[in-house]
Amino acid sequence: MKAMQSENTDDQVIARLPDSNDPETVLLTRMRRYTQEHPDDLGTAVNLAHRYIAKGKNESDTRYLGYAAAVLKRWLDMEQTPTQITLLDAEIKQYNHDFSGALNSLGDIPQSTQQYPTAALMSANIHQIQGRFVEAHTNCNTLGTRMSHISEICTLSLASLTGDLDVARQKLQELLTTNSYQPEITTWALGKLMDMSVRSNRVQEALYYAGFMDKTLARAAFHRAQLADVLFMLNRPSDVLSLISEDEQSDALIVRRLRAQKILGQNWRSTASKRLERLFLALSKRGKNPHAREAAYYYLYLSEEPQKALSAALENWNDQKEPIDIRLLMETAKQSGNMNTVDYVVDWIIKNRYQDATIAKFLMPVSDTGATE
Amino acid sequence: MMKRLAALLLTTLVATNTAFAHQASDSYLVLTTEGQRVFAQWDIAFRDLNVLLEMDTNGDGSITRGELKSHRSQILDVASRNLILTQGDSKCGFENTTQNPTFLNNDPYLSLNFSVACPNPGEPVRLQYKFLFETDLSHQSLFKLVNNGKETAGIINADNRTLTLNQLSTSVSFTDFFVSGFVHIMDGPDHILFLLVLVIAVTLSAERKHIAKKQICFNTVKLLTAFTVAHAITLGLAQTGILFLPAWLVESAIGLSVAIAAADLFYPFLGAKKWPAAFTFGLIHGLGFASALGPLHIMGTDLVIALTAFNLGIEFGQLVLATTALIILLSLKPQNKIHFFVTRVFATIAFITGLCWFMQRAFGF
Repeated sequence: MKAMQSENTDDQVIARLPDSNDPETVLLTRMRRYTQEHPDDLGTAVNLAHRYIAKGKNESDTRYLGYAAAVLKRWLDMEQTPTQITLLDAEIKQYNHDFSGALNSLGDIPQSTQQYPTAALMSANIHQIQGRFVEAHTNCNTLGTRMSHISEICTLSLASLTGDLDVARQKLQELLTTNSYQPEITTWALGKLMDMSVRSNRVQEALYYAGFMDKTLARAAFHRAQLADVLFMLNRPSDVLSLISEDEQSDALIVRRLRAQKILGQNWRSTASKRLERLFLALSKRGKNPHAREAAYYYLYLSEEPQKALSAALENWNDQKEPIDIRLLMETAKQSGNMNTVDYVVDWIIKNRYQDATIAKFLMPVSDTGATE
Repeated sequence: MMKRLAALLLTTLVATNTAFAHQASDSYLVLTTEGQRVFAQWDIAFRDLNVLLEMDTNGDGSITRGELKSHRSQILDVASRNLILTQGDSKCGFENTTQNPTFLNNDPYLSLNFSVACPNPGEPVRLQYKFLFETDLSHQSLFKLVNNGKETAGIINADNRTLTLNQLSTSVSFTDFFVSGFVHIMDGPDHILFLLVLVIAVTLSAERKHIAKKQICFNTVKLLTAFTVAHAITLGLAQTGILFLPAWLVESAIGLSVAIAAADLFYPFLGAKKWPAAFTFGLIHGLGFASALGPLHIMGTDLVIALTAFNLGIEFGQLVLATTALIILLSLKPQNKIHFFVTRVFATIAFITGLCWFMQRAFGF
């Protein structure tokens, strides 16, 4: 009755705006106005773009990356773009899965600049994501003289993906035991070590390493998604629910929470699942879909649509070739009975000397592979 | 330096792998040509409008109807400055604008509806889209052009901000409607069955009277023409809004017409000349064609061209089918058992099918 009375009156709320009262949003709006009035103020532009990117990541909201890109536009159109701007531009492109664009931007950063090590590390990371291990190795080596320990972790991570999994795992374990790094570096390296442990069929060990991560840094969506997958492997879906709250905004976490609910027999078809389906559909219309990995995960483990899952996994494979992507492609190919794709993945694994115990079960004959849930 | 780099490790490397659950900044633009007029529907997210207009005047984190009302003229101003339609040097204006809140993909949007008034109807229109790019380079507009029922779609973004809308030429395509008529008759099993029954009826009637094959062909053409003229009349009346009958009634009557025509093959009761019956049933089938064609929203010469082309397409399809049927039937000797078998079996199937359609469409069985 109350709702009916308020319909079509001036007080009726027709749209809610996220974060509009948030002090940081207010500050960012002021900063944006300031940059529009003072377009030559490089410091404020860099600060504003950096804050927008951070906010976009924290709130899993791609609009903020668009705002950051608009702030950078004027500087990118200059003949001599400041290197801080180039680095931020590459960061935005990387988040949007425009990896070649990001690499092009990073390639413009001269070795003599302060930003070069960051650029080299970002390049190594992108090359590794894309499965371009030779180029990634070159980038890691470039870091060698200036940051030997980061270079070493970078190189070990690559070695673990290209045939030296056990050696790399042991060396990284040793490095972390004998050295004390900053929390950011330790957490990053522990994430690598967790991945190596899972691929070595030491899943319990991966969980052990997760406990040493910096508590705040480990809240990052990537780390929690990685930990959730470890918990799934250990058949601990209840712990996944404790790890990922209901109001989570990251796709990667939402699909894992829904998967845990499904395994536990709870009602997982909720507002969140409908929103995800709508989002995947809308993004597929947008062209390039940076959510393809999560879409594949959703169609494979939740809606159980193997063909759709395979399409999304293949789309994702064009962009990303990390262990999770290899697993998703192999599993969706097996589920949908697409043996050509299975053969393709096997060839890729052999060619790169990639080692992963979790893939082995998919290489068994069909009758031996059990249901995934 | 080391600390900054270490911090970047997590901010730049790790988060690469997390995707965003929020809806991206998309607007939806539909441009529809109906005869000489172009209509637009542009749906913009309130969140995007708020970036430019700061509509939340009391800062409570929401937009009310009152706040929308107080910003209507500013919204129209933003719309006309950022969606620019031109013909040569002349700008097309917006007319009859309405603004209504709606929800798309569960997000609140403002739906702007307006007609576009261009100085030279029929000439290509250039569209320039500038909305939000100054503030959000990720913004896109998913557009759809609907030109007399034919759709094309695409994406406008910061790198691709202009379009030349040749599709907005307002002339009605004769070929499109001719093809549509031909496809419709080929796609309609009820019309095909009715037509074949009529052709068989003509050949049987002619055989009883020992009429020459040439005369049979002539009678068939006469019959088809009567059918076409009749359905052209009711199709025209329906498209101009003069005649309206509920779809279930029309479709049921079409099913019944097939059964009646098939019964006539066993017990001729429609008379020796079949064309009056073809004309009568053609009136019913025309209403069926009208619902298949849908509302055209075109008038005057364009409507005449469209209906003529559509009817000619149907006529052409009928001639193709009738010719094929005649070739088969006339190749069989009238006293031949196969001839008897084919016509009687066909008539039985047509009768039962027609009756089923009627029952199904009229009573939902």
